[in-house]
Amino acid sequence: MILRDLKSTLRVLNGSFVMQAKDRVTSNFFIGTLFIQPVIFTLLAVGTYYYGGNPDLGLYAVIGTGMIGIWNSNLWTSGRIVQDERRYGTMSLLVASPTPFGLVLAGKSLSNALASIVAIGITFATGLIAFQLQPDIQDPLGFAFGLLLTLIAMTCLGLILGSIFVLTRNAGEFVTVANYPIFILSGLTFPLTLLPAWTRPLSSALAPTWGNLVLNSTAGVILFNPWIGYAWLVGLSIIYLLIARLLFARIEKMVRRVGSLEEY
Amino acid sequence: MRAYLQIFRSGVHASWAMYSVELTPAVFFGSKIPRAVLQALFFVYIALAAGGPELARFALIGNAVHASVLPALVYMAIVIELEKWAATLPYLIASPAHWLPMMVGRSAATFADAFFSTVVVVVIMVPFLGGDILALNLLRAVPLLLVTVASVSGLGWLIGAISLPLRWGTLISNMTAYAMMVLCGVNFPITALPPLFQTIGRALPLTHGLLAVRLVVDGATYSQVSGLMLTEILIGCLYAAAAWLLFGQRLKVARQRGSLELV
Repeated sequence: MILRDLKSTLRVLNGSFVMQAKDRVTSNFFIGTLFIQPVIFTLLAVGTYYYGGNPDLGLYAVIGTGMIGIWNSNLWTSGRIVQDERRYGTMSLLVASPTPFGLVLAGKSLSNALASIVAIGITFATGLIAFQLQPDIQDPLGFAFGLLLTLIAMTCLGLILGSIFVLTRNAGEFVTVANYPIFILSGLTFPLTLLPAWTRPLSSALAPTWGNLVLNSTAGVILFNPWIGYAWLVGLSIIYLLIARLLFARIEKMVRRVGSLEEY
Repeated sequence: MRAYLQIFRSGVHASWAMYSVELTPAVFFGSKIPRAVLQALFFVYIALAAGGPELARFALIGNAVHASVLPALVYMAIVIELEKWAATLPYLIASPAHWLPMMVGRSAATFADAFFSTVVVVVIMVPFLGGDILALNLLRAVPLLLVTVASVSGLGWLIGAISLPLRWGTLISNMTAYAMMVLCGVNFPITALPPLFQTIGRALPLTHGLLAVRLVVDGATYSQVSGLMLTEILIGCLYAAAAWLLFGQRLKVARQRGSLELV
């Protein structure tokens, strides 16, 4: 019984993963956020550090913009997945089917998350070409492990947002605004110490904060124990998943009752 | 002339009608205002970390102006795309009325939106991060901002014309708006860029207008920045003229091929 459940869960994950990969190839938004935006953000962030006389923080900015690229791909697509399902008229079918919608969204988000690794490669390449910034990663294994945990945690966070997007036909609008608070609170491309002290608990609750710290410490840019970051990422992933599960159950019930799923 | 004005008014009416549908209070307060402010805040923080309060002030003014540029550029291109999506472009083109006043009218709400975005950024952020910026100088910079936004919209229209037979208008205009942050001296002066990028930056709208705005905010007179503004106007006119020609030519081809409905 458990084995059969596991098999069907994996089948759903695989199906939505592949479907999203096919959809992505034709999505110019995804191409923009994955291939073009990281280049522009890297030029902006590293260029500002160079002009400001702090070129030693260049790699910090590159990793930060890589994280931005990953997050953009995740959040954009979580929002767009929900919005597109509405537009295609398949949203209500997905919610009505016995397969949990959260599972479908998880498969699709995971697909985008894996593809978003490209973003970090693009930021490193941009840093190298435009600013001759060598991507000297001190602990490549730790960096790769941290990146994997970050991707998983960000996908789980994306699921929470994805469930909220089900409530509104304006998901696309809110996606554009949800980016910047995350960038700021997570200290992507600038040190968290610049932010007021009252924002620290908010920063701690965000996976990109710990992902950024882990990647920068394993790259040798900052002094930080990566194992603390790994632990936070694992813990946050579990918490995000639990919240997402709870939210999906409630929101599914809510939108079924209101009958607002076809609204676009 | 009266007919043109009437068509323009209809365009303005349609523009506001569309905005009022899309811009619900939730979207306005939950997305529009926070987005403009938070985007500026993010880049100001980077500048603060990179170069201290002086560079942060530079980035603040740049991003406040860019808050206008983004909607002016993107929506100008999207207006055309939206007509395609709504399947109304063939009717607009096939009708005997000229398309230009209608299209300009259709983008009216965009200009209001663009200007409002800058006002929001300035009102919220200058008191905290603006340092010694005087309110009077900010008010004196308003006409320059309006001219700069109009100039940028010429480029937006050109992108709309280029992407008429494509599905890439939104992406191209968005990415151009972000690229202009690098090339037009929004976060750091363009003199920090390699010579080739400086040349590209100087050929784009916004660069000269933004420089003029910065100077006026710092206390310069209008006559001191008249050269910069004339260059900005000239560049805007050149882009608008190119857009006019290209859009006309694209429409002709689309009519011949019957490809206006392609989205």
